[in-house]
Amino acid sequence: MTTKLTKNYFLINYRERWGLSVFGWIFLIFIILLSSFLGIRNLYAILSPVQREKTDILVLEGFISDYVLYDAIKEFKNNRYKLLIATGTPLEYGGLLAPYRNTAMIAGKSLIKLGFDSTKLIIISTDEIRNDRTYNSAIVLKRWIRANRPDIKAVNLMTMSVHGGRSKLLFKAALGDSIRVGIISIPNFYYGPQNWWRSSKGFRETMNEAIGYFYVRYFFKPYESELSK
Amino acid sequence: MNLNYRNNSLDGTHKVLNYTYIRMLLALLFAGWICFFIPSYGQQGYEIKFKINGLKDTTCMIGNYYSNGTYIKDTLKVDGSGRCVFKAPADYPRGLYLFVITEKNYFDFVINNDHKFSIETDRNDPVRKMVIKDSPDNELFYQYIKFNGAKYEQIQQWQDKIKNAVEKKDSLDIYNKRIDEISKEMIAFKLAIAKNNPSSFTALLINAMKEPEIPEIPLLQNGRKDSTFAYRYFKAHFWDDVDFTDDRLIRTPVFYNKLKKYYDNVLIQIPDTIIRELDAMVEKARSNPEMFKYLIWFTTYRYETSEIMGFDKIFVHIVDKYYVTGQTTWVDKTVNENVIKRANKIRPLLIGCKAPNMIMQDTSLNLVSMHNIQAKYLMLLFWDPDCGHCEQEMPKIKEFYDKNKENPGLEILAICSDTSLVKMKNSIKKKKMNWINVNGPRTLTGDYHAQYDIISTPVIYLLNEQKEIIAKRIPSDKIGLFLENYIKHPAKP
Repeated sequence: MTTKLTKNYFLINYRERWGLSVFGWIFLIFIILLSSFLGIRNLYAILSPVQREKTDILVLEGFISDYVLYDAIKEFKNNRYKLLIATGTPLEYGGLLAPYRNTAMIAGKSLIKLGFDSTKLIIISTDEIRNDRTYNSAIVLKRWIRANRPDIKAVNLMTMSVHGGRSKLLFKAALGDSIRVGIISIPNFYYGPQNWWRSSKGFRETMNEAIGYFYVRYFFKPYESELSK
Repeated sequence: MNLNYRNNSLDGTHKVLNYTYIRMLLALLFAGWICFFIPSYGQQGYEIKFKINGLKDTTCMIGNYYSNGTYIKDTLKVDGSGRCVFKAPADYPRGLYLFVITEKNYFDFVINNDHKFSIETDRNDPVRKMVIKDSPDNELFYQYIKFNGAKYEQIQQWQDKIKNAVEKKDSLDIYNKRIDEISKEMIAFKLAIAKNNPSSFTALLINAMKEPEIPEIPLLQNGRKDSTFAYRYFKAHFWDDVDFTDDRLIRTPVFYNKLKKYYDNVLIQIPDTIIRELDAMVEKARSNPEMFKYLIWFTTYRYETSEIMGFDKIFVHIVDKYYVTGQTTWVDKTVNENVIKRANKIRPLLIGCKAPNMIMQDTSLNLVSMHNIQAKYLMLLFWDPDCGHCEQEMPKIKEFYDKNKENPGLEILAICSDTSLVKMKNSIKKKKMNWINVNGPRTLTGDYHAQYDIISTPVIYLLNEQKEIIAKRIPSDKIGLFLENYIKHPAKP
């Protein structure tokens, strides 16, 4: 039988303690690796959810790639939406040369070029070019809804792949409890849930979005909706 | 140990003093102990025991009313005999709370002066089967609720009789008279409760729901009745029995509705009137931080998002008076900054302000300065060639323009948001836009989106001869009526 050895000195003391053995460390590392592996496997699904709400309003984030525009038109037709709202922020670069200086305008005008009915389209842009661009787009959307369509109780938000999780959180934060937010994340053309870690673009974007998602989920302060609490 | 120094002393004076000191010290300690523990005994936490017959081994929730909503605060584990206990610290916010069995099955209870009490009821009929012990506040509340419930049932029966009546008018009169009598009984009962139990929570609720009764209208010197007396009396006495320093009101379902009614229906809908009343109300609540905060929130949120034209002036006033001066200490720094930023953005666009100048290229690439346009009334029309809603609005605007161009002298400055001049020209031709057309992106005066807070199209601003904003974000079908009214009463846009 062993006894605990404790020695007290004036400023310090000596105590026995339990610690991990070599096998203990191996087991712990195995558990950490396993949970990290499972987490990373599900990361894509967390970051690019598809959860539709029952609504006839489709919101499209303006920064999306061109091929998503076709998905937006298909989504609009197949699910009998009545209005498509394109949101966006000013271009970060090239705006002085480009015919349209805002991503909402680019997405909206591109839809019209693809034959989309302009009477069913609203382009809402913000001039906010600093931080929190997605959030600011959502704030402007909220302002437009309040002024023009206060009857809207839910929207479905269409966006690009791994940005979906973060977009949903930010739109929910901005629109508050009175408007439900569904999310439709369109898979990226270049990578998907099964192979995102195999390309530099996929890995980089997914990891960036994972950090962004974590930040928004735990640290982001939705400053406008805080007023409405 | 012998504390009796006097007995052991040869020269007792010093020791006697010491002994007196010890006695005094002990007395002080005892007094301190009493002072410390007696109030803390009085401030013991809340312990509310629930027994819900028909419930077992489940989870229920405790919620509270706040403003115009209800919020879940805690969950309670109900044991096999339907019992559970809700414990909360002594400083738990007082107000009207909910015991939630299911989403549609819940009952109210009061958290106020009674700290330890029990509530027993049945899940199938919680209000009628309610038995309360050791809480006069809750007993009174349920006395009031049950009385009201019984009387409403009686009224319902009489109303059913009226609905199905085939009898003569005399019978209907009797039924209506009976309903009036029951209503009077309810009012009398309510007032009696408030009068006999002035410090109860139920009295607080009743007083908050009460509306002033207009006395007989006095006669003016000319012998006629004072036509504004009723309104003035109603407004002056609307808050008679409400204490703005009592934050329990926020945690009831009645205060928000009363505030809303006051701002929507009682006050004359003029920004300056509302600002004056709002400041006075906030001042009354200043000594209670919770009420102060609530009223600032209520008014900020309400007027930041008001659909009524010109009410953004109230929002700007609130921001300048309370946010800029640092009185909103509870608001996060970023929120504060953003609120101020928003106010600064809309400040130059308030009704009555001179509209910011825009210098843009027209279809011939000549520069047009908005401030140099000579017109009695100038409409700023922000539009886009691809905007379906602009397409729908344009014929109405064209008709209005052709009708009002000469008299009263309307001009339109249409600001196109598309960068393509070809597209713009084609659209102008197609829509027969025979007014001044400029291209928004071809500007010398900065981004018009930021200048005029434009987030979508179409948007209309109306300016007078001095280029002051007299209307904004007005639908095209309302401009005619507005202008007609403005010409008649130019001082009151």
